[in-house]
Amino acid sequence: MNFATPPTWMFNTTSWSYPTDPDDVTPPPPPSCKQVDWGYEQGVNPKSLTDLGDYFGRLAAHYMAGGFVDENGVFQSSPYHYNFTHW
Amino acid sequence: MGYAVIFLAAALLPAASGISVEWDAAEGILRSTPTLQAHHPCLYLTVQLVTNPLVERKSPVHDNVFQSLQDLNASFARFSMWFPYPHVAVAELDPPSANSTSWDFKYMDPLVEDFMSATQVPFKQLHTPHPLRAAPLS
Repeated sequence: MNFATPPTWMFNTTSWSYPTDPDDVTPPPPPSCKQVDWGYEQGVNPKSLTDLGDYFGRLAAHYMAGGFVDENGVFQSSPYHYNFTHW
Repeated sequence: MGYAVIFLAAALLPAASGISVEWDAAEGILRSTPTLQAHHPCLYLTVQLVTNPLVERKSPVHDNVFQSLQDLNASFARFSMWFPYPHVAVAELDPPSANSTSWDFKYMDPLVEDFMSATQVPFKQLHTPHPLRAAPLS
């Protein structure tokens, strides 16, 4: 599994804009698509490697461990216990 | 382009530095596994699926895509969540505040589910050069 995109707000940038409406209507076909944003990735260095690691740790726990504890201490459950053999 | 630069540099090396390249000398055996975004008829069949609108469940070709992925029975299948579709690729689009977070998997989960369903065939993908042996219990 290659979750290749970290959140832009974790990098040294003050802008982390993304499409407000993920379902785009332009161009018309295909009938429903996620709005493309070629400029999403901004910034150069992560503000905190610990936070970046925590993000991917929580992402992994969502799919492999049935959930994770978020930044505010709230457990967010998921139905997944996948075995990702390669990350 | 990259190969062209390498070959050009190699061709110029003898004149520029006196270093000669022995193209016939084997230093080792390449053991990498090629990966393409389409099937490849090599020893190890590998495939990479990249997030895009056509693999969503609402897509008219969704069923064919994942049935084809399953039928391909690739030795290695890779799923890449890349950046042009942030709602799909990023599970936390905004930083947390003191009392809320933006964790949201509703676009990511269906794609991961479909990918795993199409590629998780028990033991079917496992290829080893020798039979596997269980470790002794004692």
